Amino acid sequence: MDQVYIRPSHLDDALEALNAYGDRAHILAGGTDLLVRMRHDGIYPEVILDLGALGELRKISRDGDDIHLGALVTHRQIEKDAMLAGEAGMLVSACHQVGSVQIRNSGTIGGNLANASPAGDAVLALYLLEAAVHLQSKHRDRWVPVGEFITAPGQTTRRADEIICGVRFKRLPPDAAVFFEKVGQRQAVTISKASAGGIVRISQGCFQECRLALGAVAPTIIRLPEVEAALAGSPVSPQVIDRAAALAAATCHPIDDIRSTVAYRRHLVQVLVHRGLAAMVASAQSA
Amino acid sequence: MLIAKVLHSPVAHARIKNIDVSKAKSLPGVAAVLTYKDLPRVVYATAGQSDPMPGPLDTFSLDNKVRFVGDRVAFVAAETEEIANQALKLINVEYEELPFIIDPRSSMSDGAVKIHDEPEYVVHDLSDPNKNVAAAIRIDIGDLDNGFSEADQIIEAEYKVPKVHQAHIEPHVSISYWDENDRLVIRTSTQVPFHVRRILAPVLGLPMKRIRVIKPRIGGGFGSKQEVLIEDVVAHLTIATKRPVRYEYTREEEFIAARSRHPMIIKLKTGVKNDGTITANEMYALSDTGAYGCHALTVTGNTGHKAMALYTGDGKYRKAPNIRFYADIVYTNTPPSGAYRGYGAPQGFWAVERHMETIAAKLGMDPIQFRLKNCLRAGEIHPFSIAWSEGREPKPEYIQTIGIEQCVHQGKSAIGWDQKYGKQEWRDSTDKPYLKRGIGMALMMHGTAIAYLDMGGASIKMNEDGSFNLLVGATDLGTGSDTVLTQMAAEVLGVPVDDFIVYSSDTDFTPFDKGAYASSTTYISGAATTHAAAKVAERIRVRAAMILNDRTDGAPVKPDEIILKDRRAHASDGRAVTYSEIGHHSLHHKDQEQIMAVASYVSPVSPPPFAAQFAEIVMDIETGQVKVEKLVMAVDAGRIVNPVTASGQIEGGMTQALGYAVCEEMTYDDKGAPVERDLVDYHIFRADEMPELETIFVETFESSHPFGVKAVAEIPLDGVAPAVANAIYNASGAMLYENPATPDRVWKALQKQKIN
Repeated sequence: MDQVYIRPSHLDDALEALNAYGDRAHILAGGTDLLVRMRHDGIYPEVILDLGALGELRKISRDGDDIHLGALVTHRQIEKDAMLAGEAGMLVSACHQVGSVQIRNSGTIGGNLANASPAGDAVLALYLLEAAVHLQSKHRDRWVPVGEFITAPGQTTRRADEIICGVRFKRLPPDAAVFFEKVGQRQAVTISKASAGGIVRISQGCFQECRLALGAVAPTIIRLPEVEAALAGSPVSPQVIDRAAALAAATCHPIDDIRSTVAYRRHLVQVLVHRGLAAMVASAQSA
Repeated sequence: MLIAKVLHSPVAHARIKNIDVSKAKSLPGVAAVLTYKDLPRVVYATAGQSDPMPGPLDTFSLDNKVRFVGDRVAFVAAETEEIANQALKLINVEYEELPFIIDPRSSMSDGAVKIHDEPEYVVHDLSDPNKNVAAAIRIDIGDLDNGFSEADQIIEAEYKVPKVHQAHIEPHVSISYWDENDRLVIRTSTQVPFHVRRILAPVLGLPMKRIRVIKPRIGGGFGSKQEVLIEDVVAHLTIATKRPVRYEYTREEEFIAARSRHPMIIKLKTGVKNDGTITANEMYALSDTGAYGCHALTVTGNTGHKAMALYTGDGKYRKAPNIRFYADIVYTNTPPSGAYRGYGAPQGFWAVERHMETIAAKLGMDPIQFRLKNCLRAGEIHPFSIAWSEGREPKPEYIQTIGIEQCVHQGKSAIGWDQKYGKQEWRDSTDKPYLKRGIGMALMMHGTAIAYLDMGGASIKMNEDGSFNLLVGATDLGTGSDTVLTQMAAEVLGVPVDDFIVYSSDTDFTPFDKGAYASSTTYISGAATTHAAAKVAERIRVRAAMILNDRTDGAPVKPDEIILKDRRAHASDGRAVTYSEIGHHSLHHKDQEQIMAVASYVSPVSPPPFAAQFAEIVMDIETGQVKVEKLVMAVDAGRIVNPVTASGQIEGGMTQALGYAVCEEMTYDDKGAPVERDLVDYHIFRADEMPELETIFVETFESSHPFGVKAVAEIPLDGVAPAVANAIYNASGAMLYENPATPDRVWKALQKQKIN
């Protein structure tokens, strides 16, 4: 069987090609997922659509409070961006903790979204930022909230003729404190047993706004709406943090798998949420 | 060249009821498909060991039964890899599935299914296939019961170690072809070319003299290639097709169908007096050999022979230690265990060095003082040497050099032990309240070659230009042994190493060598090379004296007055003859002769190297995550011939040992299918993830060797896991009985510690 390899220089050409080939085409961005699957699982795509030449998708841009990341922006670009640390700090620390430098130099934010792993570090940060995913086809152009975009491990609502062009989110207000931490088998180049991230804003001794997300403890990354609701408006106190962490552990539904057990993951959720809230409170209060 | 592929069993235990290869055979581009029906039924063992095989014979190239997920079902040779893979899919197999055993604790149960019921099975010593026992060991030294009766306290615990994988960079790969003389040539990535030839001859039905095995440059083995693992596949297919055949394992095959380190459950029971004197020490090991008994006896034998020999006890127990080592090595329906660098000792030292830490804590003694009080001293007998020798006659071995106290002294100072151990301030010196520092250590001893058994040969030939061919059977598998052996010969002959053309190894051209295992090459093959060089040096002196005495420009010279240095033979009166002159003279000018010598060496002793391993960690006492910050290993490996390659051995060894300590583990699902099949799910340390490593050589001179060397290759695998676990205990009080120290396991140990 002949393999078709297409590397268009313009997005329109890419969309045209995808319109023609549909689900026979596999999209290649950084290659950290597709090339591994081709080599390892023996998948042999009939058509490879390489987005590598679409320079327009490699940009980080800003419009007022809106930040836009092109789909080909790499983890390393995010890590090295001078402003993102202040605008979306946990995205930067999540990207910093992905794989090795080589992986971060290749792996893209679009690819991370398409991969839809429940353990995806950068995607967890996008859940917290309530980012919207930009999907384009020859005929359509739409924005989907990241929590609706990813439906199950490896499953998204992307249609066969659509390309993930980027994501958009609002920069965090200057008084937001953020947090990201993961626990794995080794210190680096490892897939999480559990990860957690958060954003809080505190005013007049109370939690104003609180967002919490967990990775690797459910089929997709999850937010913790009950915990977030319980915290909003509550006074900042060690007891409140204790209760929130316990509630997080009680309301999540981790699974047993090759990487860990239910009991340990539940324990990690409690520790990570507790630690995250305490760290964010300390950081907000010292600011 | 044809490409070979093997159909691996999808089930853990089954008889092949029917196998239909007709579709696969008719696929264009397929040259041969072989099943058990096509091959002679020859029982053998795949372990690359000396004759007679110290273990049961329980393996066939292809059998009518499969015994693990990954076992062999059929061989295919085709024009391309794609066609070969396609052909595998066209083979129709009907399996009659049998009950299977995954947990070694149920292997010996009444009514357990018999994994080896073949009539051809050849037992060795205590092996009993009716009970799924591949090998058993019963060693008693002294009077154990009496020793326990003299103890003030008896401390017992059970330890567990997992199956782990060697993860050499180059997979197994072999090529075979008929040469122009109708001899079968096998080029293979092996540590044991001579054993390959000897073991394969009956399996292939060829006289040994019709087989030539060549070991080219190879990319690592760590024991995995001390196995005649895939050479028979290419050889059978070359015999069937008359064509060259190549077979290279995929990484997945390395995980599902190669050999790995024996998992064990180890019970220890130790009697101590309140002053810290060990009065009796008992170990029982239940070792899981998987579906075949390759290395079953000898690996587990080493577990006791190394780890239980280090501590004899103090006082009167030094002369009369009370030690028992019993083991059962049982079959399960999992991929076979085999040789992995360390060869049983890492399992033993995990248990012993965790146990010593516990005992010291119970006695309220300093863990280092407690160890040194009880450990072997120079001049003492190796307690196992008079009790056991892998089934051969045991002969006493006295230990001459023990640098272990210096190792402790220098290792402590390098890691700053006295400033850290037991210091609360240091333990808490992190930027988070839940992060704690810990420091731990372990002592180890290993062996150097197998006494009275391991033989290495070397030959050296002199050329006209004063260069030398050094031919060794010793198998450089990336260890640098070619360099180290050349250094020794060059030292004796007074020439730079560049003057040597070294070649290893080829069963047609190089002398025999048992191969690269048992930490033996520098010692055994090095002694052989040194002796061959000495014989050549002797002839060079004779020829130099002949030349000088013919010149009549000085007083007569006797050969034994001549000194060899800087590519010249020097007389005491200042006259000298170059090696080039000697080379030309000997081959062309007068009384012509080929200056050449061969020597071999076998040792009556296996002098143990000793070491102290230190580890410093930071751990998260809430999540159980452990980060190893620094490893220091101080080693007495005798004299170091090449500091760069020797420290490379120690650092590489600690890297593998750190995986055993914190993240490496092979697991199987409830159907016996391997869970980890690649280097994504199976975590080995990468260079950039490694902590700071420091190697200290405490050099002694081992007088049993011409250059005073002992082994360095395997000992770095022995101590990292217990040292890290002891550091976890130091940081948190959590007691680990099972490695690796994954966050889950450490968390569970922390929970237990809170309850106690």
